[in-house]
Amino acid sequence: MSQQSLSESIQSMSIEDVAAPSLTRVLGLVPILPGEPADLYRISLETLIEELGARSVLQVYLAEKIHECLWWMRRYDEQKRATIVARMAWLADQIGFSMRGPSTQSHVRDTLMANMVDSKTVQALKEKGHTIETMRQEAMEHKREELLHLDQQIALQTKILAGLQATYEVAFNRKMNVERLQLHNALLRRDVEGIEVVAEELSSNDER
Amino acid sequence: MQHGLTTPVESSGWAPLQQSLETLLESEGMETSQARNLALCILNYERNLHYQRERYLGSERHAQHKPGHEARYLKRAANQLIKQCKSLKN
Repeated sequence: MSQQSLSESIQSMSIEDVAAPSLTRVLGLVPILPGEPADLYRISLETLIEELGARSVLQVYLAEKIHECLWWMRRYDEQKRATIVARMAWLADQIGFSMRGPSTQSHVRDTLMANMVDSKTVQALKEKGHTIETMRQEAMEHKREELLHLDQQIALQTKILAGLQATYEVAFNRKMNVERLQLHNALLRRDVEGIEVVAEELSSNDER
Repeated sequence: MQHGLTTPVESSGWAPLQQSLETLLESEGMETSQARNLALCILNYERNLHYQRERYLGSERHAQHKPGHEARYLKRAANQLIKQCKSLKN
C-alpha cells in the first residue's frame, strides 16, 4: 500500500471515542470490525477508562489498548463458536436430516447460534444416532487445527494484555483495581491451559 | 508481496502520522526524544494491529503469509511499546 493510500484509508475511518485526549483519535483508527456493535465497544471503553482513572494522553491510550486486547479475545472466542456451529450445521445436512432441504444448514446454524435447539432438530439427530453433544464433538475434532490457532491468538492477546496492565501500573504508580479484568484473565488462562503455545512471557528486555 | 511489518516505521506509510503523535505527547510535558521514541513504538504497534485486522477480515493480500509470523511481530511490537512506556518512569 502506498503511503498516500494508507494515510487516506486510516484517516477516512472515524469513530466517536471518549471525551479524554486520545492518540487513537489522532490516528483515526477504528478498533471495531464491520458488523460489530460500536455502541457496546464505546460504552465498555468509557467504563474502563473511568475505572482506571485514565486522564493523560498515554494513560488513555494504554486503556484503549487494554480494552482492544479484551475485544480481540471476545472476537476470537466468538469465531471459535461460529466455526463449530457452522461445521455442526454442515454435518446435520450430511447425515440426512428429516427436514432435509436447501435451508437445512442455515436453519441449524441459526438455531444453534441463537443458543437454541428445537425439538425437530433433536428428533432428527436422534434418528441418526446423534446427539447435539456428539455432533459438536465431531465438529470440534474436524476443526481442531482452526480452533487451536484461535486459542493461540487468544493466548497471545492474554500475554499482551498482562503486559499492558503491568505497564499501566508501573508507569503511573497506580494499582489497577479492576476485578473484572483480573477475573477475565484468570478465566482465559484456565481456558488456554494445556494448549500448546509459546510459553515465553512478554519481556521488557527485547531489542528493538 | 511483502507484509511490510519489518520495514522501519519511519520509512513506512505510517510515517506521516508520527509528527502528530509527537506533538500530542509533548503537549503533556514529555521530552522531545521520549515523545519521538514513544510515537514510533505506538505507530509500530498500531501497524501490527492494522495488519492483524486485515488478516482477520480475510484480505487476500495477506493470505500467503503464515499465521505465526504476524503473531511474532505483534508480540515484538507490544514488547517495544511496553518497554518504552516503562522507561518513562525512570
